[in-house]
Amino acid sequence: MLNSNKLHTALEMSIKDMNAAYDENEVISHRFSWRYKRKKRAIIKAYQQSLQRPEEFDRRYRKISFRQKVLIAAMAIVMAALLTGAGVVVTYYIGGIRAEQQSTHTDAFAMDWESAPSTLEKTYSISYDLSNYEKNILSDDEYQYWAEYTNNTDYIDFMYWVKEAYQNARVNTEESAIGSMAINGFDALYFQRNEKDQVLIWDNGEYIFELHSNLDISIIKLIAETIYEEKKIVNIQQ
Amino acid sequence: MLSIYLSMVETDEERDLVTRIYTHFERMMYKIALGILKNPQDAEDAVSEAFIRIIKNLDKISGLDKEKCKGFVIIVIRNVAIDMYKKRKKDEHLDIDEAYDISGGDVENDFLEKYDTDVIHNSINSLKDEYRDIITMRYLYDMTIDDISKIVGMTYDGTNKRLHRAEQGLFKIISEVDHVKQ
Repeated sequence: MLNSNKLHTALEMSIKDMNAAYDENEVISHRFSWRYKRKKRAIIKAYQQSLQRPEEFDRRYRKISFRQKVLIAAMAIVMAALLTGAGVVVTYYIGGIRAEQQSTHTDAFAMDWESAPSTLEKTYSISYDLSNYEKNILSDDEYQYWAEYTNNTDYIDFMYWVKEAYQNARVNTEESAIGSMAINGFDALYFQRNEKDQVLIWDNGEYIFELHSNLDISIIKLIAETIYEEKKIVNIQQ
Repeated sequence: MLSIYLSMVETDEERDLVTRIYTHFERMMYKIALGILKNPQDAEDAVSEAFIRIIKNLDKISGLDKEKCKGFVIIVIRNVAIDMYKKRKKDEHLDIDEAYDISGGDVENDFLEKYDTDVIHNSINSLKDEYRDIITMRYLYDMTIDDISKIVGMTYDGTNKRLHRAEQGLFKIISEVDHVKQ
């Protein structure tokens, strides 16, 4: 082992030389992926939760290695193929959505997500009278909004997402026929599930919207057409 | 009384060193990783992995000035990216330890005292990145061999050997510089 104040000083000088080669203020034109941002939030959250006990950081941030993820994904595919008989995949292009329908489910992808907002910069609401429903907000962050309206007999799930996060979204379309209908000038993907649940999914150019409900499709369509963007109130000081 | 009260108050930002490191250095780290891995997704993975390793060694840099903090961040991201590159290429020829075939015993503990700081500084800069990094982690950031092995992704023995070779490499360069001067 080397013991030397001179070495310490020399290393400090060397660090300064190294740092000079890298400018942390340089602007780079890279848009971090949604996957990276989600991982970043998980790392920061795990760190904050383990501040008093740093040894818990690993447990709180359950890191699965890339190799393990590939293995898990491969096993899931094999199991799904064995259970379902690996049927034919039918692909639909409806509005801005690509839907790959299989025998038990559909994988939905928002197309053209690169040019869409990467976070929810707008707020949307429903103006249809839902006063006889209880509203429960299940998710409200920078990537997804999800509100559930329920009463004794009926339910309505209203969601909207950033397009980047709507990749490989799994939708239960077992024994359902996929169709389309127009919602406020946009082509919406439509299907009925279990003979009572109606689902509408559409792209308004910036975000992906979903409406799920057991109400009649004519009412759901009406509700969908009352969705509006809430305008921000700007105070102008005189 | 007021000054004592103010010194006891910690803002969320002061406590959240990790968020600050993300804010200041995230893009720089991505650029360094991209330069090594040549793939944007791999580079993002390297940045995430580097932050995990930084968090596990946060005690080494909390309280340090921004210069030393930045230096540590660069060393970590560089080593993480190289580690990932080696694992994905599985190329044994990337082991730079083979390039330094120095025979001889241990370096004397006080041999550096004979030389000017500038000579030592220039000699350190002449070392390969991996050797310079390991000497920096050991003697500037006071990291144990175990801590360093987790940063560079090597075994304890492998890290110890590399440190030994780095020290010998430094000794060789300094001796050659001194010989030329004479």
